[in-house]
Order: sequence, then C-alpha cells, then structure tokens
Amino acid sequence: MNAPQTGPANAITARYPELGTGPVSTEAVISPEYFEKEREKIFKKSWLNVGRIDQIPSPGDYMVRDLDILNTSLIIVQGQDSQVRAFHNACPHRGNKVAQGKGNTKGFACGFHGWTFNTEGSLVFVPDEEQFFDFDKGDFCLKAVNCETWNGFVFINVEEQPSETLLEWVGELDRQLDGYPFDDMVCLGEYRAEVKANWKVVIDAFQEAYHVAFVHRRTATGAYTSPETPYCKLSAVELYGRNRRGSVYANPDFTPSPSAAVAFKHGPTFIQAAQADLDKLPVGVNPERTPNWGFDINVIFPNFRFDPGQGFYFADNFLPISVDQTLYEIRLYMPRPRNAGEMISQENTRVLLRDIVREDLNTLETTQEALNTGVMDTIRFSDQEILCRHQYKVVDDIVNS
Amino acid sequence: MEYTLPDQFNEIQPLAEEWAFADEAARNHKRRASSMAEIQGFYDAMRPQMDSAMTYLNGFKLADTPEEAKTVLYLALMFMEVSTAVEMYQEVDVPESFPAERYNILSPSADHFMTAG
Repeated sequence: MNAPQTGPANAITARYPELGTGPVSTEAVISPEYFEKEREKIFKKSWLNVGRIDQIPSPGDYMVRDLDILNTSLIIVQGQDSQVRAFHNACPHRGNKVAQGKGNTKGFACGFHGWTFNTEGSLVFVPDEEQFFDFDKGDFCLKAVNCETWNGFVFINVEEQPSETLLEWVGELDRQLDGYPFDDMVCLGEYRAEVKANWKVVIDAFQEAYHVAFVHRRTATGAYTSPETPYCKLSAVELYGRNRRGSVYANPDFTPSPSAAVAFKHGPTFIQAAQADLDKLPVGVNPERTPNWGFDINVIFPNFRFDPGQGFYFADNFLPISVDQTLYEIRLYMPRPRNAGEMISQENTRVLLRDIVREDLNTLETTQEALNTGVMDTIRFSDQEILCRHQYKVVDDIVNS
Repeated sequence: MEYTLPDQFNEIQPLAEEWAFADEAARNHKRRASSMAEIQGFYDAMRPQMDSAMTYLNGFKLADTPEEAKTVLYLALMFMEVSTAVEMYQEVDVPESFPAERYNILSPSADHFMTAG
C-alpha cells in the first residue's frame, strides 16, 4: 500500500497502517448480497446487545426482542432464580409465539394449544397431555439462546457454540471502563426510530465529531466547538480489535443558555459537565483527563454504542432490518434524581440530546438514497473519521473471509 | 389533575391548565402543537419563576410530592421542553431534523420517579 502524499500531521490513522488511507467501497452499504453475508457471517456469530438489566429488573420480568437480522423473535427474561436468559419466542409444539411485548409473568402460555413454560424455559403443563405419543415434557423446553451480561448490558449470541465469551468479545474495553458507575444510573430517556439507511451508515453518524459544526450548528456549536477548535475533534482514539473508542471535544468556557444555566445549578448537563472529579473516572473514560471533554464514544462490534460522560451516558442499538433499513434505539441514563430540582435539571439534558439526535438522523435517508443510485462508488474518510474507516475494515475482513 | 398552584406561584397559575404534563411525549406534542408566540409567552412567564420553583420543590421528598407541587414540577419540565425552541431555533421544532412523528418517545413519566423505590 502506498503511503499518502499529503494529509494531517500526526495522523491517528498512521498508527493503524492496516486500515490504509484510501477510499472505501459503497458496496458495503448498498449491496443486498453483501448484507446477506453480514447476516450469516457477522450477526449470526456475534454477541449482540439487546438491552439492559434495568429493563427487566425483577424475577419474572421479560421483554420480547424481534431481531430482523436474525429472522427471529427472542424472549429475554429474568428467571425466578434471578438469572437472565434468552429463548427463541417459538412454542416447540407448532411454533407459535408464546410472549408479546414486555411485562412480569410466572410463565409463558402459548395461545395456540395452552402449552405453558416457566421463566427458566421448562415446559410445565400440556393440556390433554395423554393424547401425545411417546411424550416427555422434558424434551420440549423453549429453545435457549446464549445470553450473558456485561456491566448490566444484556447480550445474546445465536451461534450454537460462540467462539468467544462475552467478556472476551468486549476485550480491552472491559478494563478501560472498569469502575464506571453504570449501576448507579437509571434510564431517563428512551427513543426509537426506523431509519431508511444501512446500519453502518447510521452508526457512522454517531462515531465521528467532524459533523458537529454543521449538523449541530444550532444546538452544540460553542459548547462542542471553540475559536481554537472550530471543528469538533475526536481524540484519544483507540482501536481494540473489532471495538473502538474516542473522546469528543467540548468547550468548558462556553456560555450556557439561560435554561442550561438554571439546570447546571442542580447537576451536570450535556453541555456543562462537572470538572471536579475527572481523576476519579475509569482509566478509559476521558483518558487524557482533559477539561475539553464532552463524552466518549465506545462501539462494541458490531452494532452497540455506549457513550459515557460526567453524570450521564447514553447507549444505542443499531438493529439492521434490511440493507437500507435500520431500527435505531437510544436510551439516556443519569443518576436517579434525588429531588425535583435534579429532575428538572436532567430534563434540560434530555430535551437537548433528543433534539441533537434528531439532527444526527436527518442526513441519513438522503445519504442512503444518493448511495443507492450508484452515483458515487466510494466514500472518502478523513483522519477524523477513523472510527468509520475502522468499521468498514472490520466488517469487510469478515464478509470476505 | 390538581391545577391550583400554591399562592407563591400566582403569576403562573394561568399556565397550569394548558401546559402541565407528566410525560415527555405529551410535553413534546404540546410544544409542536403550539405557535412560536405561545411558546415564547410560556417561556417568558416561567423563566423568572424557575429558581423559586426548584427551591420550593426541593422542600419535598420526591415520593411525598403533593399534587399542587407536581403541577409546578410539570410546568418546570415544560420550560425545559420549550427551551431549545426559544433559545436555539426561534422555531417550534428543531429545524433540519428527523421527522418528530417518526421519532418515538418512550421515556418514563416524571411520576415514575415520584413513587417509592
């Protein structure tokens, strides 16, 4: 591979020569054949985040997750023994779904013929059981799917024998995040949208900061830019195998709006973080310990992102539906409010983040439409878009293996 | 819903019936269904009350928040809801953004955090 003739000094990309610096083919985001290979080689063999333990906090709590990319519906349930498990949502009798939505239950009763399973997946009751031949209820459990948790995040893997444990899959990021107070925070905001764009195009919008000065010129310019840094920057980039991270620049000298100033009297906000305790953060959160810090971007391959800041984090799922359709979900977490003042303060972050994410999503459908026309056949990534470049490299290596 | 505010909030009493909602989705819907003039009027009336509202509300344990105080809280949350419209856009909704009607708000209600536990 030829070294680039021009480019930024001290390029981040130069630390990862395997990525190259050349254009990236658009085939990866428009080809149905490529998408089918992703389904078989990536999604059916990866640990996939399906949510967080706080969505099913008590024994008997369950949620159904329909994962188009796996062509399956799953039940994620906390058993009466407090263990979190995942099952295919299909009755082993004739295949009907046994659960819908979410809730709390002692078991799952199939609406077709009344077969009933407990929350550990065992078949406990079959109406008119003596009508079956050579029948043993023990042979007809709900089909289990590998399910593990990491820092309270629930992951599944539909491969019979996963090649790695979840902890191995998270890899170096685990140590980097050690000690982040995930368990001290509660979900304050939850949003969902179907976006007509490839799942990687959607992730790309959330793993670089180059767009901030433009897409977010109304909402974040000033807070995430400054006269010295007019284009928001990603720093402390690390690629950990398939996973990746970076820190997003912010400007602590920014003058907040009147509502943000009110909010900051009662707690940290999205645009104004507490600067006091940076040294207490995990080694991999704001690793540069810089006051010019908004939050970090962490992506666990293939399609889970979580972004820790000071006093908040958000976690996103990018769930492929088809080659150019993605279900996007984001959940915002902050410390459980101790009083109404904190609730009102947190509302400032919740509203601003919601508006900002709607800005992020706005470019994606027209982007995908343009890519689908084939008018351009490559994408050119800058050094600042290295996390995007890394995504295509990791995916392509697996798809073409 | 109890719309009568404590005496100290007489100035914002006229807002209570129309602008107090426990849910983020309801607040956002109200924002998008209002004119910019209505939003500006609400914001201008609420802004000088925010510090005293937060001080007043912090006098209660969340789980023991009385009904009349809840209405003050909902109005204060609505102030944050409309803040971006007034302070950043001078438009009701965020311009150049993904359609609001396709962006589903599933957040827990404020009331969720005012129950014990």
